[in-house]
Amino acid sequence: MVTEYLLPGSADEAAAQREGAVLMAGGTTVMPAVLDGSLRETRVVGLARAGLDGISRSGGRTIIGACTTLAAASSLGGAVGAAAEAVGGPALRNMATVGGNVVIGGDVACALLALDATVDLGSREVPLADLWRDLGEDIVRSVSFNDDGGVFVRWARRAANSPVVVCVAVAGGRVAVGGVGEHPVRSAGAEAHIDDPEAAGRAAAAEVDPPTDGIASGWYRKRMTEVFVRRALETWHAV
Amino acid sequence: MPSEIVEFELNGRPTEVMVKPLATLGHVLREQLELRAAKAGCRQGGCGSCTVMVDGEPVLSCLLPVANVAGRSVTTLEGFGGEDRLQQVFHERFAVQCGFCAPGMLIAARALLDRNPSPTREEIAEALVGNVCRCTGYQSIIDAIAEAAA
Repeated sequence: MVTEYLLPGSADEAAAQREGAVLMAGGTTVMPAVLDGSLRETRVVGLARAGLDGISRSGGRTIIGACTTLAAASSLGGAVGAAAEAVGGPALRNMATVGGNVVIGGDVACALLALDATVDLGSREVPLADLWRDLGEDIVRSVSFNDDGGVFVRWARRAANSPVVVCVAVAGGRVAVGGVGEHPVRSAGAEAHIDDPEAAGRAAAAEVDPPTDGIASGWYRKRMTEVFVRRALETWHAV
Repeated sequence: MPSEIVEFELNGRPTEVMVKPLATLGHVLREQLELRAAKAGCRQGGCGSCTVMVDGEPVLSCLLPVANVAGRSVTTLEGFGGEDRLQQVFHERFAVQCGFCAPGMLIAARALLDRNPSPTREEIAEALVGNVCRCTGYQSIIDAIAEAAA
């Protein structure tokens, strides 16, 4: 039962109010939990007015504010734009944010992982892969990465508005796989066979142990990891 | 949670509601303001039947805290007043079966035509991917939007 909803006007103000609260950006993940009563926290700190939205580019690097919507991120092109554009439908993308997607380990996080993105937490900057180990009480302010485009492919039950079975992003010789666990992972096996898509697919599938849920069985996800790592690398080599 | 006053523009009129700030816009529209075009469908952002516009962009009112729209402009299907060309063509071409999804479809379609007055069928379908019609009436809906755009 939530007893307080705050909308601080800056990230620092949000940080001061953050203890014991759940952070909410676009609300597409937190609000369903509020509404069905499954949220454990009693306080919600909303980031909608914290001034964390916006995309900037300088010196070959792209910086995306945490509260930038997926609709805005769709315009970026490359792996990040393709991942953002494939989530939900237009109305959901007008709400869901890049920072939220990063925290939950979604499709955009998969693209950012392949781009070797770093996350600005205010007091410190960490590689994206470290974020899920220890987010603690920090607030994701922005993510940044070098502009090397990359490719993103996804496989879902339906062509649109459907969560992934697996998704794969490739950039700069790095391969990230999503849908196979709580957050996306780099595939060392696929990266070791970067010039041989078929071997890379087999190596990636051998590394993952995906969960079974309402979207797909673990077996199917493992099999699709092989197929979509191969296809992602074929696409990446063709670009 | 204590209630507070939230002010916003609703269908062109200044509106003031006394609400719990985390109540959803959809709940406030339907239960407090008695505007029932936006539907309470899946209530988790998957069906699009609750779609309304905020500052001209479609959003899901079932997941949007009402406090977040303070000072902003909200448009529901009631704001179209039956005057929108899309509403007329939906009626003429019977682009509704049970009608539950129609308000969300119409808001999504209006948002599309506002930024792209001459969409292809593919662009129309893409604009509707977040709106589910369980009567499976998509063809007549897409036909109607294409005709309204012509």
